[in-house]
Amino acid sequence: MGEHPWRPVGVRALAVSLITAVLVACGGGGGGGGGGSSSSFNTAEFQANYALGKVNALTAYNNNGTGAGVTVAVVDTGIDQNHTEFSGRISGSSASVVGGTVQDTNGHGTQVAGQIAANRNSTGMHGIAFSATILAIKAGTSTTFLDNDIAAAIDLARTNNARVINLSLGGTGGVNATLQTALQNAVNASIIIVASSGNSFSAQSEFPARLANCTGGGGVCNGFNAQGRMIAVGAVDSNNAEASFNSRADDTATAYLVAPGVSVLTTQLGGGTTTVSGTSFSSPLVAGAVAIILQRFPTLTTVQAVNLLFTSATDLGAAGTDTIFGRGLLNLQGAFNAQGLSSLPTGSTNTGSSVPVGDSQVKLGSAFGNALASHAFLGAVIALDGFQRPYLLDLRGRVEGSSPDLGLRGFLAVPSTRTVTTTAPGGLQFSAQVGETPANDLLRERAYRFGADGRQNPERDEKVEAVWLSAPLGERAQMAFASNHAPAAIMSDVLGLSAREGAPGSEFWFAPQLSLLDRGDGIAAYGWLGANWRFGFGVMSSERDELTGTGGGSLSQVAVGYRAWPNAELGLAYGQVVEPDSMFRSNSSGAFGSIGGADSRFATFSLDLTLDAKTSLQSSWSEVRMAPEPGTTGYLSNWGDVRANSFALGLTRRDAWRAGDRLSLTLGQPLRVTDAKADATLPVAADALGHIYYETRRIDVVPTGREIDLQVAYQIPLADRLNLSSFATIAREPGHDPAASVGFATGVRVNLKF
Amino acid sequence: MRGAKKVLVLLLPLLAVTVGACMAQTEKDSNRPEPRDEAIPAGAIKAGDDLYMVPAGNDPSGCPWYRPFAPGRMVAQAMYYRAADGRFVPSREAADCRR
Repeated sequence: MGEHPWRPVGVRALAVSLITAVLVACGGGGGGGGGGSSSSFNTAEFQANYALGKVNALTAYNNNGTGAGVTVAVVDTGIDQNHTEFSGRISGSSASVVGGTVQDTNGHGTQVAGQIAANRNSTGMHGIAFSATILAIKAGTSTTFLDNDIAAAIDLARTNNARVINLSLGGTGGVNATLQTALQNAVNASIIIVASSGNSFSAQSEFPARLANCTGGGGVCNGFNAQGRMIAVGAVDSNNAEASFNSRADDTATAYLVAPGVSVLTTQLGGGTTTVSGTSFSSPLVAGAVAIILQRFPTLTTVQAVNLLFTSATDLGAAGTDTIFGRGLLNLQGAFNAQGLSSLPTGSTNTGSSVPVGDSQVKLGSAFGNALASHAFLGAVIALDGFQRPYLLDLRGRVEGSSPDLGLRGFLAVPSTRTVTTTAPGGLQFSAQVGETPANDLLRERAYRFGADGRQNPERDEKVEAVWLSAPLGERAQMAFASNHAPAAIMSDVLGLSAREGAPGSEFWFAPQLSLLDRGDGIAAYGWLGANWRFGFGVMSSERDELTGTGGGSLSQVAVGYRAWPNAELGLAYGQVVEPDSMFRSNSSGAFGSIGGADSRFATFSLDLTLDAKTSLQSSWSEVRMAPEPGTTGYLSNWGDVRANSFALGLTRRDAWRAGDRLSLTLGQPLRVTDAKADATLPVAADALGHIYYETRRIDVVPTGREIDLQVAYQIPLADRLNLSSFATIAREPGHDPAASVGFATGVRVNLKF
Repeated sequence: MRGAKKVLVLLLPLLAVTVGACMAQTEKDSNRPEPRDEAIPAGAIKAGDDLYMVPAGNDPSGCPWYRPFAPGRMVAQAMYYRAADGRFVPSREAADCRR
């Protein structure tokens, strides 16, 4: 699984020094807030410019996304240095490349800069990245700009620590070589360029925005390679409809976003605010959003930051990327949500080793019930989204329990269509179950009848499903060989469970070891020694079920019974179950590591009373001790020995209402873990540099509830070859889960022998 | 012949300076290749040196607006209105929507 520093970290130390929960997880499980109207950032100043709400800027603000520390260059007509909305926001490196000072005399640059970083000061309006730094570079004094001047301004931005360059300018005549070189140098230096698409209502964007998705080819790209660091921005209105003047995405669609650009409020030369329109004002919204992303997620590369805005955009127009809206509307809420394929870290950094969340799971067998489901420690774990950004994940969603059986599994097992039985002289008996299905399992039956391509198999050759061969050992003992039979069938007489026939599922309460393996092959011998001693022993093995990944292993069983009184028999049974890659039918995968298997020892104490000629009472108590085998390292490891138990009390009456019938009433508790501990080493925090911090706790893996089942079962022969079986089971806290509703199962089956 | 040579020698520096000045002027003007497809749109109103304002319909409130155009140059990507004094302004508040 890779090396990782599983070092325990005190929670207090983490709280002091680290950043946690940087993303809003989908569904609200993360640590940050969404964009709700109750946010403290939803002020009159925020609402003054509707554009901010349209791009869900509140989500960014609620998660500390302000653009602080990021320099955005505005290549334009300069900036009004005296405007109060820019107090503290203007870089000291701001300058003019066309002579004079950077002081704006035209107004356009001031309007553009306001969209990016006008102060949040409870007056007027504020920019989308209100804590960013504006590097204002005057490249023109009027509404027009020369390519060479724009190039000089871009070079100045590049050499003065700009991380984003906004170009709210453009034209239809391409770019000259000098400007292309300046753009190339900027993207090569990992600067993100954001450019207006244009206002000519043209099918394609104007230049330089048209170069946004170039990768060095010919044609309009002329060898320019945007390196995935350029964004063209078109305009929509307050209804997300395309602005009437907008120049469209077309062949720049994969690097094209839209943002509000109609009647937006911004700063005005000389003070105050004004309402303006044009892609000049949609572009700086995206530029400011880029600044927020770079500030809030410093581990992202610039290409990742651009891709994040593309993949999180709100789709407009035709589904997917289209020639009008490109990738869609800028959406900061989407950008702050976990994006892409999530993974669980297993290394020391967010870019280190990790395992997809979908590959990481714990499947707990029924004996563990709802263990882990209530552990708060698993409720807030660091996961990584597709951009390796940390967010909080409730890992309990990756823990799957087992559905309580309530007798359904055995009762619903479809019997083979034919049983062939032959009895030879001397008591040797052979029976074979012959049918169309490979095993009495509904899931396998569906798989058999319908192939991998979904088509029904045309051929249904009969095949032998199971074989049973029994032979007498003297007068009072039997030996049996079984192939592909359930453990309960093989071990029933070994354990003296013949009275459990017709009470589906109850055998597992009396002998829980029988619930751990699937059908398999085995040998059993049982009988009487003298008048008072009953013996039995058996061994079997089974293969793992491919669907569940459990049920494979071996079972060895010995049992003795002593008829202490004429009407009472004491029993003691000892069994061993070896599971090679599961633990009480539990397994795990991915970041959890894998379970290495388990060796379980079962001790069962039983007391059977014969109340009268037709009525008997059975009782048993089983104690289990399981020793897990070390598996692969993961979030769960270092399992200690596991203890579990089960008990049952059953009353059986033959000829209850009609001759040959059987009525049973059983109360029981299925196998339930009473003591189990494991180390849980989980990623609980991440810092701004992407370091992942783990905490280890020794946790209990024990269910918080206790399933108690009450079953009534009745069998009656209706005719010579016709039998009726029925049962009803009611379960309190099924699955050992105190929050589970009362379970109920019932069934009626008619068997007809030919 | 000697006299002609003298004149030529005197004129050569002047010629060089003149040629050099012409070349500099040409470089300053040709920021980009001669625009091939940048014809001035129909209806464009001359608003300054090399600057035109092209009618672009009305804004959502019904006020006429314009987009700037400059052959051989890039322009600010704002929409402009006509103010009462005939100037083109980006501010909606300063627009005279009758023009």
